[in-house]
Amino acid sequence: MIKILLTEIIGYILFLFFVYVEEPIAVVAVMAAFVFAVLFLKKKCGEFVKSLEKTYADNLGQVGIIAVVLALTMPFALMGDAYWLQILNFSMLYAIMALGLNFMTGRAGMICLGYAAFMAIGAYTVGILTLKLGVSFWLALPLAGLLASVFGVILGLPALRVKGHYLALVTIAFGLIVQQLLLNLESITGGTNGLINIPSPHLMGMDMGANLNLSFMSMSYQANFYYLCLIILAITTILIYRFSNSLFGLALNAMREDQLAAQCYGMNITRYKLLAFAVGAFFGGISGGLYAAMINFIAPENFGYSMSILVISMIILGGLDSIPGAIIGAFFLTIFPEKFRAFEDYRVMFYGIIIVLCLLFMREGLLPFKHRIFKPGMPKGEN
Amino acid sequence: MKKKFLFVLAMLTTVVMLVTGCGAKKSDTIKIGFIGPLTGGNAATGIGLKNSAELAIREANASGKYKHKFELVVVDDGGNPSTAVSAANKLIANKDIVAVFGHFNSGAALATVPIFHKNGMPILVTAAIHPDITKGKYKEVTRIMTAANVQNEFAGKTAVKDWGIKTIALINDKTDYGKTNADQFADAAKKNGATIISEDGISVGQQDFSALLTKIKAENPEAIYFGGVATEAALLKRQMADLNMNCLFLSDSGIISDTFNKIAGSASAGMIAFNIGKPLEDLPGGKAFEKSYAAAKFAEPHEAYGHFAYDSANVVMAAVEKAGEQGAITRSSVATAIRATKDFPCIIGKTTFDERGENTLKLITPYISEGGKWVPYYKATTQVVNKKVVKK
Amino acid sequence: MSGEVFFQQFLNALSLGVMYALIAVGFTLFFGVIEVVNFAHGEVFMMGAFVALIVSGILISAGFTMGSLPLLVAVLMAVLVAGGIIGVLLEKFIVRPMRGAPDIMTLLITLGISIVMREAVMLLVPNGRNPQPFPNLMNLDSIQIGGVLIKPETILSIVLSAILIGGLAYIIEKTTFGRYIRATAQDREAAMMMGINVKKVFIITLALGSALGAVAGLMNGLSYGIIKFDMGFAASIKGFAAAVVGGLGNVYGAIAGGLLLGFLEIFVVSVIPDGSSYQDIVSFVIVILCLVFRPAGIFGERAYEKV
Repeated sequence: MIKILLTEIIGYILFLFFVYVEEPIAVVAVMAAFVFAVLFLKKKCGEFVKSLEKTYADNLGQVGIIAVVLALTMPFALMGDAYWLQILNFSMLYAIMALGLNFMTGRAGMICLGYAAFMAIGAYTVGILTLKLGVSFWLALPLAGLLASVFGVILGLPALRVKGHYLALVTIAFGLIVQQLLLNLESITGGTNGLINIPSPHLMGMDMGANLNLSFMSMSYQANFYYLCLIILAITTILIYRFSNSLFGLALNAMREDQLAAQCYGMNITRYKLLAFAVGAFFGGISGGLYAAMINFIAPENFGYSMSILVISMIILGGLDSIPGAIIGAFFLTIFPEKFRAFEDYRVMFYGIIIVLCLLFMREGLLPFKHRIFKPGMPKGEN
Repeated sequence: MKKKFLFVLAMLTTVVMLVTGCGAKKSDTIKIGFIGPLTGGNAATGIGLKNSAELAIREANASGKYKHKFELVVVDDGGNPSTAVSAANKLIANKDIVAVFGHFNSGAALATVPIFHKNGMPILVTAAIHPDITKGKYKEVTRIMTAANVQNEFAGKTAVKDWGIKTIALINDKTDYGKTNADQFADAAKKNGATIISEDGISVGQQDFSALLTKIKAENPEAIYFGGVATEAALLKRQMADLNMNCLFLSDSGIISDTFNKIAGSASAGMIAFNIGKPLEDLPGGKAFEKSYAAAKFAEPHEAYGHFAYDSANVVMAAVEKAGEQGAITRSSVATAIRATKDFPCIIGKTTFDERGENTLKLITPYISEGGKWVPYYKATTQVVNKKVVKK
Repeated sequence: MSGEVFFQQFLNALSLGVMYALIAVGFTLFFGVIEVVNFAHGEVFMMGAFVALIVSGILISAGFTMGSLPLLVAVLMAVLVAGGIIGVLLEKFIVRPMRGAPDIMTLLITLGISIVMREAVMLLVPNGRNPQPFPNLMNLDSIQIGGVLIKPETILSIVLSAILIGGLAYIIEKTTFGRYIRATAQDREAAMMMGINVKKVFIITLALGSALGAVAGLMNGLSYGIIKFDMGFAASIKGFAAAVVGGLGNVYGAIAGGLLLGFLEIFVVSVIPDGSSYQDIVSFVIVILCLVFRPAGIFGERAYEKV
């Protein structure tokens, strides 16, 4: 417990320094120092690092709770800096998406290159319901997730017949078609103009779009969304973890590894595929809905192919089928480019390079997931 | 083992702390924010805006005509809504900044305006032309550039009343910009008595318009209006020439760039577009601006809209001064002062903001492409005679 | 629709279709022989166009005249060679390291390299973000027959495609090496056991397919007069869609698929009101329908796991 607490606190402090460092050169220096330290530790203190990893794996509950508690204090540590809070909010949104996509692509092996479409559906659902029909955000958000799920199943239907390459094509096509429809169905979606002035949610009389006024300090409204996103991210992580480690998740793994063998074991492939799509899409919808409420403005151009690619690169970096990997990948690929604003033009190429390099040299990603060994009679499938 | 581990961690932390350093700067200059596309597709325009704004600030500080000294805080909106929102938040978070001006991309401006308004930060929109930007009539929002709807009303009227066009085929590139322009042009043309015989959409990035143009050719319109930007317009013009179509081809300000002429090549001649503003050399303060800009030796040119940024900076600085004379300089007082701007001398002319925040000074000039260059219509050698473009 | 308009649209469709066919053939070859979907193929198309741009620029300033046959031939040769080289490089650095990895990985890595290629061109070419005018290498006027205008570029596209695809078909059907390719496509392990150098087959296949794709890029530049760094993306999707519709692995299917797609797009635009808004997504919808109702494609794929 102490070990976990210490390492998490150190990570927290390092993160804060990373935020406050301004010069790009200094940032690179810090990152390099960090990488060297990690490699050095792995070599010299390999035993210790391994035991640390085991401690983490055995006490996931503690890891999670400590992480959440530390995260709760973050806005104060950042002194309410709206800019960085916003970046963290985006990171969390992407993390939710990454978890959803990871479930679909990493765990179930269903490649999806059009994930942005689910985010778009979620965003527009919340946008239209709250802006045009006056529905409360708290009702609209789960509806957004559910509608995205429905579309996930719709995408899943043609996907049933195909696998691998065809599936990739179908998902790309799906993403583009959804984007095109959003553009063309102007009367509902506002077309190219998008939807402006989507209202912020209200919680117990407080407008989340207004500043958070605590007795001793006032923080800009991003802090409100920070806590909201944090809660939803925590719930998402728990849900995905539960799904993954259940028999459902095990079945999906089997389907991914060898569909034919799984079918021979009597698995209803159709049902599992559709469920995988539905679950994965749900979280895309949720994150889209949050985005709409947070930014108050959505347009089809936000949800294009590049967004789908971005989420894919996040889960590749983090490690396919790895839950912490998805979260770390999302945070890294959102926060890191912010520090290098001057190289904004190279951002997309950077994502492509990450994908290529990771697949060539680090196929398991940053935080590889260990294969599950399932022994009947064991309480949890563990390695 | 554990000791080594902790040691390494301690070293790491020390390195980080050393490198971080600190350096807060205290100053009592007034900070104004500039937000514009410094990276991405419109970087050239954005940098031109930034440089022109810096020029204005430098001149004001050097001349000492204002009681305060000013400092420009620059952020990049990347030309797209998400980056713009991050950048806007950065400016808002900086408590020293009392006003912001800028934006070239309407998408970016549409996303940030509600945020600026929510935080009471005055935003003077420099070069983004979407009419909805001022829809909310917020007291913080003003715009110095003429909005797109004015451009399109003028275009529609000119086409029908001055050139006698009765039948028009409409094409738009399905973007916010293109579609809005096409629709508003159509409304203006219809109001003046013309008929729209067809409406079609194309995609940005599409190259093959042969089928579409063949279809339109069969309908025989007197003019085609295209709402969109340079590349697609150039491709359309080229393919029209391939099909021997010589009806009038009209478009919006977005196509007025060298890119159009380069891509359309010899087919570019006769293209007509309606520009916002007037050629710099024909504006009251144009020549002086050119001289000062050249003397400042910036690495990049001011591009098409630099002078609007120059004017924006001056309007904002004058408003800050006025707010200071009447009380404390806060975002709210500056917002009020900017809105109250009346007959302020700018390069473009006398600027006043109406109840919606729009500039009452409206400048629209038709341009025509001849000899591979865009020439203002009133100075051109080719004109529209009998619904065709001919040499005068 | 009048006869003239019909014929004009027919030509439009044909010239669009052969371009899609050239790209589709590449996709189908890669899948049939190497069992790989190469998402970077669209970028090879784009590189072909840019190589043509650069080479013609160099040759013109070296004294070649615009519109002369030597210039055209030289550019064509350069493009073919460049395409081949890119294909070989792709095989060595991207495809080969991924052998044995799950299909997803190979797909994703080609996707990744396509992004890198695309962005690299955008950043390295001066003013790369904007469209680049393509030189008028043919410099001939359109031919007018009645009310129909025929561009010389259209004729070149159709003739060149026919020659190249015909040549490829000849190689595959009639030569020894073609037999090696067919054998590898049919059963890779058996081919290895028969002593065929499968590695060489892979390299040549990638080189051939990429060369064809690169020429499609050159044709695109000639036909439309401009090229842009992101022209590969749409080409990828449509080329792949055409290959799928025709049946992945089946070269004749790819040709048919490409032509079909071209004709379908032109049909939608010319006949359906406001059809041009949907010109691009026609391909996607067709693909999805095809995959749902006839996954093997029109001509049937050379499938390996018919389960």
